[in-house]
Amino acid sequence: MRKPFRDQDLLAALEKHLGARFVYQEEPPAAAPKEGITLPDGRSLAAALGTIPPQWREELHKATTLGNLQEILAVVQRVRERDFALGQALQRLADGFAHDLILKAIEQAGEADDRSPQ
Amino acid sequence: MTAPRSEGTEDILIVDDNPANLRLLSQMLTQRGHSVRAVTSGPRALASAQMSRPNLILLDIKMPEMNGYEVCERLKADAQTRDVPVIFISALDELEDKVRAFAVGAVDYITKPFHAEEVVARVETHLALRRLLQQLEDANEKMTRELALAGKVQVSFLPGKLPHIPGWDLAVALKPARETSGDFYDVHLRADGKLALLVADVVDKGVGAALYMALSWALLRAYAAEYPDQPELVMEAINQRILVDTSGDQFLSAFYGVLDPRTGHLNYANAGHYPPYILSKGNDTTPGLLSRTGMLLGVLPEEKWSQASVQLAPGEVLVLYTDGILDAEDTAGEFFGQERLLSTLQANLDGSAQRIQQALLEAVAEFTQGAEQSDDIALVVAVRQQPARTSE
Repeated sequence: MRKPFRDQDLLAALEKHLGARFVYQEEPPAAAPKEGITLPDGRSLAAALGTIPPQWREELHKATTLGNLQEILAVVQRVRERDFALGQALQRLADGFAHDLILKAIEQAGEADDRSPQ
Repeated sequence: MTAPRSEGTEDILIVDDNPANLRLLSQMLTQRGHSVRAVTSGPRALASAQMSRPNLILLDIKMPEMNGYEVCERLKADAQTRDVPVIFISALDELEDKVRAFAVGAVDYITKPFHAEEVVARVETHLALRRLLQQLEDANEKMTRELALAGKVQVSFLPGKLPHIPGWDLAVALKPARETSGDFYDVHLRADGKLALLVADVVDKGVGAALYMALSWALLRAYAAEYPDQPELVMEAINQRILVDTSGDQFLSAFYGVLDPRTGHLNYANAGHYPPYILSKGNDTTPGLLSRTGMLLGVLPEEKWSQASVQLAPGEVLVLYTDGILDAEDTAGEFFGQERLLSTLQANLDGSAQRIQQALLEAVAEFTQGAEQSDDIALVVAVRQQPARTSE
């Protein structure tokens, strides 16, 4: 195995060649609380996303599903001009490739839209 | 060695659960002018590829949720993503890991830690291969479309509807081995009430034979009008014309006859063609053979053909065919041959012309057992019907 290696690759090799069995303890969830991402001003990411035009959310959803960072950042730039804190939060998530978190928040914002009175 | 130059922006999907790797690979490939997508898991990779098919995928193996092998298997199982080249990029460097990667459909395997130049070189190589393959597929598709059109044009030369002639029953068939045919037939009722019958076979197949067939068909129609009752002169005129108008490296065999339906009298010339048969319904007599009256057309410029004639009695069946029937091969390489041809005809003589023709084609199909048809088949069957009996 060449350096640099990842922990799980090293452990898998030890299991394979030595017949060792490792017992794992689950780490407590850290970054993604049950309620989702919260912005510095106390709003949830989903709630903040609910305030931007649905067309932008749709564009962000498509770009994030594709994993196209350029397209994601193009939408984020527009969001930042309208809602700086939301834009910054999205930028951090996009930079960290946390696409699942962005998509989940967009879907929650959409569900909230559906529930709101017409 | 330098990496092949990219021909333009290509859409590349990178899948790795390590954001640092994603950043580095994205940066490298973006600098090469490519449009890059990056995702951190197998399910996200599948969703991305299904939403828009990338031109190439760089895929990590060890990932939570779904490993790279499974991602690749799913991509290859989906018609939309099946042809996307997948390069595995992994820290696993044992032979069995690499073998498994190729077994699930990868085109290449890069071990981590990777060198940027190597990754770029391999990516550009596989993108170039994919472009060439795409060009080949496009060209092949275009050629297939054009050949299909050529085949339709050829079929339009053939008589669309057989003439209805009292006392006679006619059937024809043409089964090209490819999209176009080098075999052809003509059954044409002339203004004087006589029936012109032709079966011919260009000694080749494919597009060249099809073009030669079109030329020969046009010449035959033209010279048949010029020499209405002299088939031997029709052959001579066609022979001279095709030797003048072509490079002379293709030949054809042809049987051309003029039948008087009222008397059953057939004048013909046979230019190197397999002798047609005359068989009698309800009669075990030896079949008549309409032998060759000269050589193939398109060989010697000064060649002459003679005319022969024969009488078809009521109850007799005339069968014109090409060697695609005799040379039909089964999967063991055995030929259908004359004996099977004759026995099939004799077993079906009591049927209509259509039935005889169908029985022969079915016998050939059964014999070849799905083996690829090796040569074109043309067939003309003319039955002189027995006069209806009047009650006394």
